Amino acid sequence: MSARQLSDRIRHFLCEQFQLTPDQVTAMMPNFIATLSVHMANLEGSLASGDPQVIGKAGHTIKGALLNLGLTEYADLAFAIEKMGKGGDRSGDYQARVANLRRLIAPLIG
Amino acid sequence: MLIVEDEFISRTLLVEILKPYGVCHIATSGCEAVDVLDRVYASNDHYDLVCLDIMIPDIDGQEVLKKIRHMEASRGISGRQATRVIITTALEDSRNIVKAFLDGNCDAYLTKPIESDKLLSHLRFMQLIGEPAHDYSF
Repeated sequence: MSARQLSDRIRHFLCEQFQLTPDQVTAMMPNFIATLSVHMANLEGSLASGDPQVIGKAGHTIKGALLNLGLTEYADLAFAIEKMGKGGDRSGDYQARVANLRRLIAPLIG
Repeated sequence: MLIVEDEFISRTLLVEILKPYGVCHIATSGCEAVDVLDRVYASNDHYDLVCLDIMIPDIDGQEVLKKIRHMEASRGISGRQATRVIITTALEDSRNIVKAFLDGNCDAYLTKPIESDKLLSHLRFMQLIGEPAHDYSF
Protein backbone atom coordinates (compact mmCIF):
# COMPACT_ATOMS: atom_id res chain seq x y z
CA MET A 1 0.00 0.00 0.00
CA SER A 2 1.37 3.42 -0.90
CA ALA A 3 1.90 6.23 1.60
CA ARG A 4 -1.10 8.05 0.13
CA GLN A 5 -3.33 4.98 0.41
CA LEU A 6 -2.27 4.32 3.99
CA SER A 7 -2.74 7.94 4.94
CA ASP A 8 -6.19 8.13 3.33
CA ARG A 9 -7.21 4.92 5.05
CA ILE A 10 -6.16 6.26 8.47
CA ARG A 11 -7.88 9.59 7.87
CA HIS A 12 -11.11 7.87 6.90
CA PHE A 13 -10.96 5.58 9.94
CA LEU A 14 -10.29 8.42 12.39
CA CYS A 15 -13.20 10.45 10.99
CA GLU A 16 -15.59 7.49 11.18
CA GLN A 17 -14.48 5.88 14.44
CA PHE A 18 -13.98 9.00 16.51
CA GLN A 19 -16.34 11.41 14.78
CA LEU A 20 -13.48 13.79 14.10
CA THR A 21 -13.61 16.42 11.41
CA PRO A 22 -11.17 16.27 8.48
CA ASP A 23 -9.49 19.40 9.85
CA GLN A 24 -9.00 17.78 13.26
CA VAL A 25 -7.53 14.69 11.63
CA THR A 26 -5.22 16.79 9.46
CA ALA A 27 -3.93 18.51 12.59
CA MET A 28 -3.36 15.19 14.38
CA MET A 29 -1.79 13.18 11.58
CA PRO A 30 1.83 14.46 11.76
CA ASN A 31 2.07 13.66 15.48
CA PHE A 32 0.40 10.28 15.01
CA ILE A 33 2.80 9.30 12.23
CA ALA A 34 5.76 10.50 14.29
CA THR A 35 4.50 8.47 17.26
CA LEU A 36 4.11 5.37 15.10
CA SER A 37 7.67 5.85 13.91
CA VAL A 38 8.90 6.01 17.52
CA HIS A 39 6.94 2.87 18.44
CA MET A 40 8.47 1.05 15.45
CA ALA A 41 11.98 2.16 16.43
CA ASN A 42 11.34 1.04 20.02
CA LEU A 43 10.16 -2.36 18.80
CA GLU A 44 13.29 -2.73 16.66
CA GLY A 45 15.41 -1.54 19.57
CA SER A 46 13.81 -4.09 21.89
CA LEU A 47 15.25 -6.92 19.78
CA ALA A 48 18.72 -6.06 21.03
CA SER A 49 17.64 -6.77 24.59
CA GLY A 50 17.03 -10.43 23.75
CA ASP A 51 14.36 -10.35 26.44
CA PRO A 52 11.02 -11.70 25.16
CA GLN A 53 9.12 -9.69 27.79
CA VAL A 54 10.67 -6.42 26.60
CA ILE A 55 9.91 -7.31 22.98
CA GLY A 56 6.37 -8.32 23.94
CA LYS A 57 5.79 -5.01 25.69
CA ALA A 58 7.03 -3.04 22.67
CA GLY A 59 4.76 -5.19 20.49
CA HIS A 60 1.83 -4.38 22.75
CA THR A 61 2.44 -0.64 22.49
CA ILE A 62 2.62 -0.51 18.70
CA LYS A 63 -0.38 -2.85 18.47
CA GLY A 64 -2.52 -0.36 20.38
CA ALA A 65 -1.40 2.49 18.15
CA LEU A 66 -2.09 0.52 14.97
CA LEU A 67 -5.55 -0.44 16.22
CA ASN A 68 -6.38 3.19 16.92
CA LEU A 69 -5.30 4.09 13.40
CA GLY A 70 -7.52 1.39 11.91
CA LEU A 71 -4.60 -0.69 10.59
CA THR A 72 -6.00 -3.90 12.02
CA GLU A 73 -4.07 -6.40 9.92
CA TYR A 74 -0.81 -4.72 10.93
CA ALA A 75 -2.00 -4.72 14.54
CA ASP A 76 -2.46 -8.49 14.18
CA LEU A 77 1.22 -8.81 13.25
CA ALA A 78 2.18 -6.74 16.27
CA PHE A 79 -0.11 -8.85 18.45
CA ALA A 80 1.65 -12.02 17.26
CA ILE A 81 4.97 -10.48 18.37
CA GLU A 82 3.40 -9.43 21.68
CA LYS A 83 2.04 -12.92 22.33
CA MET A 84 5.36 -14.59 21.52
CA GLY A 85 7.20 -12.17 23.77
CA LYS A 86 4.84 -12.32 26.69
CA GLY A 87 4.78 -16.09 26.40
CA GLY A 88 8.54 -16.09 26.86
CA ASP A 89 9.20 -17.61 23.44
CA ARG A 90 12.97 -17.49 22.84
CA SER A 91 13.04 -19.53 19.66
CA GLY A 92 10.67 -17.45 17.51
CA ASP A 93 11.95 -15.35 14.64
CA TYR A 94 11.26 -11.92 16.06
CA GLN A 95 13.67 -10.29 13.63
CA ALA A 96 11.70 -11.42 10.57
CA ARG A 97 8.35 -10.47 12.05
CA VAL A 98 9.54 -7.03 13.08
CA ALA A 99 11.17 -6.51 9.67
CA ASN A 100 7.90 -7.46 7.98
CA LEU A 101 5.99 -4.94 10.06
CA ARG A 102 8.59 -2.27 9.24
CA ARG A 103 8.26 -3.07 5.52
CA LEU A 104 4.49 -2.68 5.64
CA ILE A 105 4.38 0.64 7.45
CA ALA A 106 7.57 2.06 5.89
CA PRO A 107 5.61 4.01 3.23
CA LEU A 108 3.96 5.88 6.06
CA ILE A 109 6.86 6.47 8.44
CA GLY A 110 9.76 6.47 5.98
CA MET B 1 -12.05 13.62 34.10
CA LEU B 2 -8.73 11.86 34.34
CA ILE B 3 -7.31 9.88 31.43
CA VAL B 4 -4.59 7.43 32.41
CA GLU B 5 -2.91 6.23 29.24
CA ASP B 6 0.75 5.97 28.30
CA GLU B 7 0.32 5.67 24.53
CA PHE B 8 0.17 9.04 22.79
CA ILE B 9 -2.32 8.19 20.03
CA SER B 10 -4.80 6.50 22.39
CA ARG B 11 -4.48 9.36 24.85
CA THR B 12 -4.98 12.06 22.23
CA LEU B 13 -8.07 10.36 20.83
CA LEU B 14 -9.63 9.93 24.27
CA VAL B 15 -9.04 13.60 25.02
CA GLU B 16 -10.62 14.60 21.70
CA ILE B 17 -13.73 12.52 22.46
CA LEU B 18 -14.10 13.72 26.05
CA LYS B 19 -13.04 17.35 26.00
CA PRO B 20 -16.44 18.67 24.80
CA TYR B 21 -17.87 17.30 28.07
CA GLY B 22 -15.44 18.71 30.59
CA VAL B 23 -11.87 19.35 31.60
CA CYS B 24 -9.60 16.37 30.84
CA HIS B 25 -6.50 15.82 32.92
CA ILE B 26 -3.99 13.22 31.84
CA ALA B 27 -1.53 10.89 33.53
CA THR B 28 0.91 8.76 31.58
CA SER B 29 1.91 6.25 34.25
CA GLY B 30 0.43 4.52 37.26
CA CYS B 31 2.61 6.52 39.66
CA GLU B 32 1.57 9.80 38.12
CA ALA B 33 -2.09 8.77 38.27
CA VAL B 34 -1.85 7.83 41.96
CA ASP B 35 -0.07 11.13 42.74
CA VAL B 36 -2.77 13.12 40.98
CA LEU B 37 -5.59 11.17 42.63
CA ASP B 38 -3.95 11.50 46.04
CA ARG B 39 -3.79 15.28 45.69
CA VAL B 40 -7.37 15.52 44.46
CA TYR B 41 -8.77 13.41 47.32
CA ALA B 42 -6.59 15.31 49.83
CA SER B 43 -8.30 18.52 48.75
CA ASN B 44 -11.72 16.89 49.35
CA ASP B 45 -12.42 16.73 45.65
CA HIS B 46 -12.68 13.79 43.26
CA TYR B 47 -12.82 13.00 39.57
CA ASP B 48 -16.22 12.07 38.16
CA LEU B 49 -14.57 9.76 35.67
CA VAL B 50 -11.26 7.96 35.29
CA CYS B 51 -10.45 6.26 31.99
CA LEU B 52 -7.80 3.77 33.00
CA ASP B 53 -5.53 1.72 30.77
CA ILE B 54 -4.40 -1.58 32.31
CA MET B 55 -0.90 -1.83 30.86
CA ILE B 56 0.79 1.35 32.01
CA PRO B 57 4.28 1.95 33.40
CA ASP B 58 5.26 1.79 37.10
CA ILE B 59 1.98 0.69 38.67
CA ASP B 60 -0.46 -1.20 36.47
CA GLY B 61 -4.08 -0.17 36.02
CA GLN B 62 -5.38 -2.89 38.33
CA GLU B 63 -3.31 -1.51 41.20
CA VAL B 64 -4.34 2.07 40.41
CA LEU B 65 -7.97 0.94 40.49
CA LYS B 66 -7.48 -0.71 43.88
CA LYS B 67 -5.85 2.47 45.18
CA ILE B 68 -8.76 4.58 43.93
CA ARG B 69 -11.25 2.37 45.78
CA HIS B 70 -9.02 2.35 48.88
CA MET B 71 -8.72 6.15 48.86
CA GLU B 72 -12.49 6.41 48.50
CA ALA B 73 -13.17 3.91 51.28
CA SER B 74 -10.82 5.69 53.67
CA ARG B 75 -12.74 8.92 53.07
CA GLY B 76 -16.18 7.34 53.25
CA ILE B 77 -16.89 7.99 49.56
CA SER B 78 -19.27 5.48 48.03
CA GLY B 79 -22.32 5.06 45.82
CA ARG B 80 -23.06 7.94 43.50
CA GLN B 81 -20.19 9.94 44.96
CA ALA B 82 -17.66 7.31 43.88
CA THR B 83 -15.51 7.92 40.84
CA ARG B 84 -16.72 6.06 37.75
CA VAL B 85 -13.87 4.05 36.31
CA ILE B 86 -13.81 2.84 32.72
CA ILE B 87 -11.09 0.33 31.94
CA THR B 88 -9.54 0.64 28.49
CA THR B 89 -7.74 -2.42 27.28
CA ALA B 90 -7.05 -4.75 24.39
CA LEU B 91 -9.76 -7.04 23.08
CA GLU B 92 -8.00 -10.26 24.06
CA ASP B 93 -7.48 -9.15 27.64
CA SER B 94 -10.59 -10.76 29.16
CA ARG B 95 -8.79 -11.89 32.32
CA ASN B 96 -7.87 -8.32 33.20
CA ILE B 97 -11.39 -7.12 32.45
CA VAL B 98 -12.94 -9.71 34.79
CA LYS B 99 -10.38 -8.90 37.48
CA ALA B 100 -11.12 -5.17 37.22
CA PHE B 101 -14.84 -5.81 37.73
CA LEU B 102 -14.42 -8.32 40.57
CA ASP B 103 -11.49 -6.85 42.50
CA GLY B 104 -11.67 -3.18 41.58
CA ASN B 105 -15.38 -2.65 41.10
CA CYS B 106 -14.84 -0.85 37.80
CA ASP B 107 -17.93 0.52 36.11
CA ALA B 108 -17.33 -0.37 32.48
CA TYR B 109 -14.67 -1.43 30.03
CA LEU B 110 -13.80 -0.46 26.49
CA THR B 111 -11.59 -2.33 24.09
CA LYS B 112 -9.18 -0.62 21.70
CA PRO B 113 -9.73 0.90 19.26
CA ILE B 114 -12.03 2.96 21.45
CA GLU B 115 -15.40 3.67 19.82
CA SER B 116 -16.58 7.14 20.71
CA ASP B 117 -20.25 6.09 20.50
CA LYS B 118 -19.71 3.35 23.07
CA LEU B 119 -17.74 5.60 25.38
CA LEU B 120 -20.37 8.33 25.26
CA SER B 121 -23.16 5.85 25.78
CA HIS B 122 -21.42 4.61 28.94
CA LEU B 123 -21.16 8.21 30.14
CA ARG B 124 -24.87 8.75 29.50
CA PHE B 125 -25.74 5.54 31.33
CA MET B 126 -23.61 6.72 34.27
CA GLN B 127 -25.44 10.05 34.05
CA LEU B 128 -22.16 11.90 33.65
CA ILE B 129 -23.39 13.59 30.50
CA GLY B 130 -26.84 14.38 29.17
CA GLU B 131 -28.67 13.02 26.17
CA PRO B 132 -27.48 14.40 22.84
CA ALA B 133 -29.46 17.30 21.45
CA HIS B 134 -32.03 16.19 18.89
CA ASP B 135 -32.57 17.81 15.55
CA TYR B 136 -36.07 19.11 15.09
CA SER B 137 -37.73 19.70 11.77
CA PHE B 138 -40.79 21.84 11.35
